[in-house]
Amino acid sequence: MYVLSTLVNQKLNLLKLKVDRFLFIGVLFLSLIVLSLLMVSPEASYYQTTHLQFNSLMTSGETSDQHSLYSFIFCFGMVWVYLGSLLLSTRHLTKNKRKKIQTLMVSFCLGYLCLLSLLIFSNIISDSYFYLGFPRNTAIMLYLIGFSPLFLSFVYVRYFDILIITEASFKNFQKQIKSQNK
Amino acid sequence: MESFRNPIILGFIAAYMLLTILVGIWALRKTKSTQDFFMAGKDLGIIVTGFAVFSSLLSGFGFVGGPALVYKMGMSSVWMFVCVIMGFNLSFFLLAKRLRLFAEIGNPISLPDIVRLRYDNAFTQGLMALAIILGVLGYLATQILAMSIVLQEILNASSLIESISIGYCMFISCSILVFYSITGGIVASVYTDLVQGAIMIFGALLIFFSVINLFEGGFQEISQIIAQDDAGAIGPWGTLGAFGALSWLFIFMMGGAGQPHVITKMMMYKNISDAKYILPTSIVGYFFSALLWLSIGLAMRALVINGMHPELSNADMAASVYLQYYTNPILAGLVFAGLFAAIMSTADGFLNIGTAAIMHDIPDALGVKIKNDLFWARLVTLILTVISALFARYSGDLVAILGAFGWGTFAAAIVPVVVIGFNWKRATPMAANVCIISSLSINFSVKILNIKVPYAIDIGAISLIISMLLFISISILSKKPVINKNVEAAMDL
Repeated sequence: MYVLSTLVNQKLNLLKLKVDRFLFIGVLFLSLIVLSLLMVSPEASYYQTTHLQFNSLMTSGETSDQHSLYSFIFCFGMVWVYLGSLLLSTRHLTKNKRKKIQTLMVSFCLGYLCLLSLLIFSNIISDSYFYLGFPRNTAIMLYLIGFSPLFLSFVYVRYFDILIITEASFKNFQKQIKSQNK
Repeated sequence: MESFRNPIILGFIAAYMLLTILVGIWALRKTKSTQDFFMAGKDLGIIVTGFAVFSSLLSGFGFVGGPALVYKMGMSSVWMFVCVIMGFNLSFFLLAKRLRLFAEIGNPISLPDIVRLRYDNAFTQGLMALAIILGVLGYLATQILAMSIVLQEILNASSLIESISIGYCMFISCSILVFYSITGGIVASVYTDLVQGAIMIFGALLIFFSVINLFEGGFQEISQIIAQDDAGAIGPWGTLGAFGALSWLFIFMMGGAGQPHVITKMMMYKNISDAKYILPTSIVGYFFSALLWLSIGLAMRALVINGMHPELSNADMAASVYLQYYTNPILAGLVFAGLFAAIMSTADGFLNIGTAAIMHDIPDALGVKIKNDLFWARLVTLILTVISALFARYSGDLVAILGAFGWGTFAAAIVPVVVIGFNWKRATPMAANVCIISSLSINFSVKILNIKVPYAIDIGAISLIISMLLFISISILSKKPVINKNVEAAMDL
């Protein structure tokens, strides 16, 4: 039993990725995706075209729904890089606090990726269903994708003293700098 | 009241200009040192900082360029502001505290100053200053072009002048801007941001309701008109398609933390705990003001498609045409005044950081001391304005496209070096230097050579990804850097 738990712990330690490495792999992944996109399908370059009747307007092209999988992979990389950057802000915290805030950040980013996937994989632009003035997918983009990050803002405001800094430690820091300057 | 429409609009603008002059003179009296001119004495309150943060982001880019892009491309450009809360979160989680702590060490007056403090490298400071100057030219050009287009629309519609060219409007705009910036510095900018922010929130809400009332069925009818013409335009990706829209999402959610005119405001607030109130203030302000971006753009597209309004000769005129012809003259006057305020304060903010880069950071990096720096700072402000006006006049781009270029230039150069580097001790000066050089080379070569990127992916996004990759990989591969004790203490807190 002891050997088993030691093995599991060792495995888990191996899986524990440092935040900077996590970010690095995310950026590398996103770079490879963009590179492959640029090299694979250049025929999709000219997506939008000028409106037949009005020169100042653009209309969507014929290739609109052909790249859902690529779009998802691109989003995945994008959210990964965002999460990696966000996690850098937790490095100074104690283990327990760090674990809690990192769990919240990871959960939020997964939720955000799900919302983006919902848009990517559902290509119906229906005239018949409108939510607060917009077709369903557009409403998801405006209301859900637009406002879901308020969750993280709430965390920032609510747990500022615990996760970010207290006024007392800032004053101490100011004092320390002032005393050095004297 | 309709017969007095133009006098009312001009009256509001004249009243606003007078207010601007008064704020400039008041700020001139308040500005006693270089620290005051560039850093507002690190004494700003919650509301002033919160409004300054969101107003700097919107400006002529959001109020003139935003509706123009929605008019032209449908929902594509909405991704630029839909992700703004993500951008604010990243900025506040990673930078608000860190920048305020760094601002306590060695009294820095600019972002490159802090970059030098962090990396202990004069060359990095010089490169950061160069990136800021080049980004400022693109962004300042956006503001000048936006202001000139609005001014031209107002003056041409009035009976005072038969027809005025965009060149003359640029001259008038630059003259007002230079006076305002030279007198007030950053103090004038942040306090005008406060007035402008309040006007824009109020004005944008009223505009939003005016758009709802313009069509019987409100936004649903607008959506249906646009969808009948081109369903993709009112779909979530607009006409640009998924990749173009998603690349904007990436560059705007990551790049929000890399806009120097916004993040330098995070060094100016008084108490560190104010940051937790500044974040919601900025979000709320931005949300209401962005209603103008969405509602005017969609309304103008629907009006043109439906044959209710003739096609616009230039998409950038969408906001000013809507205000001129479809709103109450008092509301139009109020929003036009707010729009001028937005443009002026943001342009002032840009001139401020650009001037600091030329007058303070580059000489500092070269080890040169400039005497009478306040006088020279004001002269450089004038020169920067003229160069940006020429860029705006001859680039031939839309306001928002110029703005997106400025945004991308800043994001690619600043996000890795500042956002990541200020929170990661492993980051090295060499990585920072390579990252800034690569970001500038990619952005400017694509712009100058007019290279078309497949899938309409924004070049700023590609440039940001490459500069991040270079920054992290070079840092990991290089020797662990030695960090100044105070800087290390600030990074540990």
